[in-house]
Amino acid sequence: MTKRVQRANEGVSLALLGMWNGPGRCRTSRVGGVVAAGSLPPLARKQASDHAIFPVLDKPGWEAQAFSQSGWHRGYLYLSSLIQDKRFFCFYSQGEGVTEMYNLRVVVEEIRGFCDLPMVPGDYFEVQGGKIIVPPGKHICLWALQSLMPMLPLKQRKIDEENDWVPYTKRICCPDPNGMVIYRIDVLDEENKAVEEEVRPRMLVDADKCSGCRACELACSLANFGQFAPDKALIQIAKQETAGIDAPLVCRQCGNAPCIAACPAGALSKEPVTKAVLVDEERCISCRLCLKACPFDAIFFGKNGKAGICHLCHGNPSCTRKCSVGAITFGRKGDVR
Amino acid sequence: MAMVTVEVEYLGVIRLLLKKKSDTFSFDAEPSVEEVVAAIDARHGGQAAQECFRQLFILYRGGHGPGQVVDRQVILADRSLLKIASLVTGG
Amino acid sequence: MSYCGKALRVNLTSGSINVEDLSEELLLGCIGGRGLNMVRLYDEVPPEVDALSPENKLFLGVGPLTGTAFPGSGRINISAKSPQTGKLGDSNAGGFFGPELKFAGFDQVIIEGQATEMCYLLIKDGGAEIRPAQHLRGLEVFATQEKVREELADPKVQVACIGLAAENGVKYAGVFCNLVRAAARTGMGAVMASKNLKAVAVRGTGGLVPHDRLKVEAMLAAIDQQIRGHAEFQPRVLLGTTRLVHALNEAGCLATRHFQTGRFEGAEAVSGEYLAEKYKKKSKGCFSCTIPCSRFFELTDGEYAGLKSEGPEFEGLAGFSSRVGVSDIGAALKGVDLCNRYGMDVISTSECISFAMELYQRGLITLEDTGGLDLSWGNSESVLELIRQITYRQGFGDLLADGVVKAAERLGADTAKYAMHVKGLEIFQADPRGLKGYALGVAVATRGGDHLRAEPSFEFTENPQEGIRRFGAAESAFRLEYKGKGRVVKFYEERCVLADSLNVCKNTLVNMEILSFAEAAELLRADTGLAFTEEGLQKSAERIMNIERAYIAREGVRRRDDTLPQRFLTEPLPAECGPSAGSVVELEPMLDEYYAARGWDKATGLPTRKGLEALGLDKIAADLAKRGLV
Repeated sequence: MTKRVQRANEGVSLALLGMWNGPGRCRTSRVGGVVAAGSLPPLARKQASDHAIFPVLDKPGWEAQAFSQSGWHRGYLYLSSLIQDKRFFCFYSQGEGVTEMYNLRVVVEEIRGFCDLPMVPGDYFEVQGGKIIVPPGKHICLWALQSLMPMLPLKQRKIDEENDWVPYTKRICCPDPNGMVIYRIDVLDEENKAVEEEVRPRMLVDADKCSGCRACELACSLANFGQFAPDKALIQIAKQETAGIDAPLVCRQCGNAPCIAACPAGALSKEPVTKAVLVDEERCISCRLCLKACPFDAIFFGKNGKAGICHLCHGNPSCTRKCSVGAITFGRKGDVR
Repeated sequence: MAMVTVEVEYLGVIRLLLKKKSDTFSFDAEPSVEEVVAAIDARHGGQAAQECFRQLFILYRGGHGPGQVVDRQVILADRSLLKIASLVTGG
Repeated sequence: MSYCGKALRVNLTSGSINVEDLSEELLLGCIGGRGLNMVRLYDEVPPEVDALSPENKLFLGVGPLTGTAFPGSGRINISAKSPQTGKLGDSNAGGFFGPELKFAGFDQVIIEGQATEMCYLLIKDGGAEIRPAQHLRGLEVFATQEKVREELADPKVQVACIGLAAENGVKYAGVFCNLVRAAARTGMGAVMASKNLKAVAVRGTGGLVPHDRLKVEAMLAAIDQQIRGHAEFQPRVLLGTTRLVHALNEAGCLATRHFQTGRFEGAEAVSGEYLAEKYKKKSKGCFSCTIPCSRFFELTDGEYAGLKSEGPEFEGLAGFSSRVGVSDIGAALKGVDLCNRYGMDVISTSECISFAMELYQRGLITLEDTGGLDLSWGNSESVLELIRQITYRQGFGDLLADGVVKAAERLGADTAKYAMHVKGLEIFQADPRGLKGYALGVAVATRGGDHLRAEPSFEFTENPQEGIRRFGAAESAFRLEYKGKGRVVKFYEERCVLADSLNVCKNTLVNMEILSFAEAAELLRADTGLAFTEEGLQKSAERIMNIERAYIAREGVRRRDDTLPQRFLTEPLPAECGPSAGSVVELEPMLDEYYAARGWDKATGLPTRKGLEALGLDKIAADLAKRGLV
């Protein structure tokens, strides 16, 4: 092992060990004849060497730029220290039911803060099998990589499970509050193109943007009741005019909806596809316990006394299309606007 | 080669979009207003140029004259001041 | 059908409350809102009526588009005979009061008589009641609204109310809803006060069913698209009208130190840009508006740190800054806030104050006259103190509380030429010498010195081909030119009538030129099911203009009253006003062109009998003939 490579090894190990906060054996390649050792099960060990995780070190003239603190590298990435805990590479152990695995592309989609590293929207790395491949000229921040690492095997495998949230989750925010770099994980098909994934949007509210115009109330009442009747709308804007507060009150499709739990008459349920809350008016006894339970005050009792809850207009809400300031949107929180 | 400097002052919409009050640009030769806008676009990107032409008066004030409204073809002298202001419309 | 087809008539003397039908014929003829108010005003408030007497009537009118999802459909007109000008009183406000009236089932409210004790009117679905309001006496506008909502235990009640200024008899007191939305001009608040009516509250839980819902939805979606792609969209969302401080300043016609010049050296410090960068919290909008052009601000530094409110718009901002020489935006915003809370018109208030300041500058009044108030330009403390004095009718403020015309009368004949008004109504914050079309519009406006009757913003477009195509003169597209302006003003007056009668916002309809007469007819047909046509709407707009002209003619207005203060006609703008330097207003040729376009008599400025009858205004023609006017 040349000194330079050794320094690189040490640099990476130090950085990664620092992050992992624990002892670990630095595993190196077969360069220099150091043999991998450790707690990997035999199959994983074989696969690790089969996949030649560190081919770069075989190449003459390879240069690693190691910065001991931040530890970012160009070219191929050392992953040896990560093979400590086989859970991060569950695909190696061929967990039950895993037959298909996808390749991934992790793309820098947006930088919402100020990133100290030269990340640029459009930078990406790919995950092919067990390898992380950083294209020449592109960069990954190791801190972000560490935090999104658990998502990689999850996105690589395809398992049919009820209430599986993984297919709908594509975006990760880097852990640095100063950086807030948004990464998007694309699943790739055979032609290496991003697969169109399912989305499960929900109603998102940004009250700081709400102008208080109540056009949403009109859009709702027109679409759902055929009239301009804000009182009937399933979205209401609560106002405090002296303080300039305009707060959209609308159902947010809570995963574990407290309203459904609170209803003594079993009148509330979740629509299976859109996850909107549905009201069975015949069962509703107007007790208002749902409103009491709702953390968003988003249940409205009309003239017939029955609970009124936004049903997302069957997946294409009229109000979000009308809002001109983006105070209410239909999507996932990480989405780029 | 004599450098021609033009100072640009942003008012109205363009000031809020660029989040800047003014800029100074250097050119090899006396630029037209259109070229100045291209320089703004190059520096700030986004919709800068589009907004400039779309809706704003482009005012010119040389070292000496009072402000005049000008169009894109007008050539600006060294050390002139170009203001990009909002159109006056109803209020 | 998005008309309610009903008017509520309330007599405060007898306490009677009646619901009247509004015929389709009537609505087709005058559209609604301002049109409906003006028809009533002409018929029910003749010249003999004193504006502060029980015989005056207050009309609150909304239109067929009010309360629908049309952008900016939240407007209401409040009209009566004006106690300030003695002639046509009309005011318009945004916010949320108008739509609520529609949801309660009414297109118009007529309030007559006079209550013996202070009261407020509560309008609910299909009906109303008169409620005692002694506990609201003396409360400022903000507190009145909150108190009424509290009393009715409903935060969704919309309240239009008067403040202390009206209660104390200030002639330019307005009617305010949603705290800062002012139906400010011509003293409608003073009319309410004379009737002992502190507020009108409304809560409507009904709805408007469009006649052809799919068509309406499609048209509204197309209009929203048009608006979002419009060049004016960004400026209005980001700055609203506050951008006019810099824009007019650059053009050299920002009212500065009472129109002594058109450029204010302190413009940057009081500009809309500065306000947006430093103190704006978010955009605010009226009912159903796709272009929220208002804002909510909070002052975080300076003497008035902590002041927060919705607003201001340009007239208020410039009125208490450049017009009075104040370059402290905190003080300007405080001035606007005081006017909002006391319930006064910012334009009239700022004119009365700046008028006094010019007199002080010229030595025509002294510290003795002002009770020790130093009215030097830029003395913001004096400005704010004067606002309070006017409100309470105390000290020197009392002299100013009846409007600038009366103030000039009281301060001596040599002060009259400094009173910047037309027909008794004070003018806005732009210098007419830099905007010839607006100058004409202000000179002929039917409610007095007002820029919102016409808003001829075409003259800023600088597009000579369009000028020729639309108004027969390339010059019509240039603000410093004269030719074609008569026709421009006629056109935009009718756009403003349309906006005020549909009762939607002029920003969209007039300034952004969205919803042509043809499209308006199409939308109204789809919304109401009534047989509106492009031609019919155009004629209705013309008709309403003629009704208003007939009304003020009855009150004595002639061509000689269609004028501007002397300064704008004879004193050129000074050299520092850039492109506007050296300008005056040559009014007469524009007036000739305007009367010709309107078909009015060139000598008197009055409509002809034939012209009135051609518009279906036979009764008015007969009335005017009886009075020897046609």
